[in-house]
Amino acid sequence: MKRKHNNIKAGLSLVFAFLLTVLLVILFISFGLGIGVFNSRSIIKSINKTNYYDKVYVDISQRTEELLLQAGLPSTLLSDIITAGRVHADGMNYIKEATSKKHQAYTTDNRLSKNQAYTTDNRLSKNQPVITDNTLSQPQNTLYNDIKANILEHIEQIGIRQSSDLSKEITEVTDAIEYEYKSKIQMRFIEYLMSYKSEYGRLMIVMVPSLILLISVLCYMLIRVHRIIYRGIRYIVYALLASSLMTLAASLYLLLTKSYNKLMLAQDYYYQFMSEYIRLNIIVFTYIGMMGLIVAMALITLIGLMRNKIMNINN
Amino acid sequence: MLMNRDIKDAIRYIQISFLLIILLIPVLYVAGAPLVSYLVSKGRMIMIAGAPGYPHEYNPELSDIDIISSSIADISKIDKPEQGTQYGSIYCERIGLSVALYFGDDAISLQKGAGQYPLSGLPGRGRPILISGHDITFFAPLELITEGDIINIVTEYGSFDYELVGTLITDASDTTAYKLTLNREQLILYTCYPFGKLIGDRDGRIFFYCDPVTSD
Repeated sequence: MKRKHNNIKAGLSLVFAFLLTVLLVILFISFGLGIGVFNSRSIIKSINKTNYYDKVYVDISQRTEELLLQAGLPSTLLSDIITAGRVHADGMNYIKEATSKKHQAYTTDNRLSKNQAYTTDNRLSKNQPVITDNTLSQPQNTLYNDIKANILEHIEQIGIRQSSDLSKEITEVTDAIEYEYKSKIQMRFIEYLMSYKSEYGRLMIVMVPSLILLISVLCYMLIRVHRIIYRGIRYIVYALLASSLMTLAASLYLLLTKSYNKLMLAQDYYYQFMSEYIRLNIIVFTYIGMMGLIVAMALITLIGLMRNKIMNINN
Repeated sequence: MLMNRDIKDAIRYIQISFLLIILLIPVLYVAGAPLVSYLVSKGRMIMIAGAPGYPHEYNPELSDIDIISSSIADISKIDKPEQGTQYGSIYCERIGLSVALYFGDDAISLQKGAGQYPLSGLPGRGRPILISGHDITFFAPLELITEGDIINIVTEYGSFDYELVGTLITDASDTTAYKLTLNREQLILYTCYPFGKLIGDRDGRIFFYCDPVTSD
């Protein structure tokens, strides 16, 4: 009879421990997303580590040179206007704005004007995409004005007379260069991510307290099922060990197989940023798994102390 | 004796933890697989669509093409793009559709954007153009499209507008939903239906039929 009773207690405890494991895994994932994926610091860290905007500057410079050459202008005409420092400052400003709490989540499509597409042979189409200028470090028309002023100065220096056709072409080249600059500074991935972050935030407001409540209830039930407290805590430790080991094993597997290197992304600098960003987030989950193991070890130590105390009392 | 008990305890911790892991894996797989698949697709989509220049910038590798022209008369000289290459972009401003267009509807192309069935026609060539995309990623905005909306396809050789004139909901096995032998141009977009369904069979398809409006 006593054996049957003990078996029932053990079975029930195992069921509760299993449910607790599920809840802990969900909790770990939720924390990992909040600390890692949706954390702006991991984005900024990845950008800095991969020198993202330095490479963007190289890309912008090359494209600007192409556009200038196509227009019959010297390729180095704007080298003092579009500098690495300016690109970096504007880029970091953009990231700061995009990840700020006040930022209204939006996709690029919402911000584009009509007929936003353009062909590669003619970068300008009617109504080019409008990119938010409030993220730039300087007033919004400064870049445009600087580019145009430089081109006009050069034309004046070489003694070409301005005509309406020439003005139109200058405007087209300036528009194209400005568009290239802004589109490369912008990283819509962050905008998409922030829109999901707001949904994540709304979900977590409900989910985290519910998880904590359910976990607390299960822990209480496990302790109550057993006459001696440490025996109940043991099952909590089993659940914690299982969830932590799963989290740790999954993240270590992803890290060791370098799954983040298998992305299919076009620009090299963007690929490097994404790889680094994903790698950092996997490391966050690794740390969460390790923290779970540390807490489990602490509880095991506590169990040992409690048991020894009971044994000393009995003796 | 104390050591033996500690060792026994340690073994029990490992055994029961692994037992819980073994019990958990099938539960996570059954319950979590559709959700994980959805999240992975979404994650991949925002990574791809969030790249600088997407979907405008691409390096079209149209085989044998040596024309960059918007003249309709020259379109007939354009050969087909290479399989798996992006040769254009699809837009519909009102619903926020903005996606790269790949030649070929293989799994990899559909992960990066919309894929054109290779045996269908190219925009501007006077034949039906059959293009597919995933309903939970790049073609998700199509859920909002209504008759009269204009879809714009921009390619290396020109820009083409199409107006949505009708839709059809049917099965994946229904081959009467489109006719590639027609001698007129029609843009046919299709995706899984209902939109965003994670669990259960995914045999439903929705087709969007669009007639040409203008072409450059």
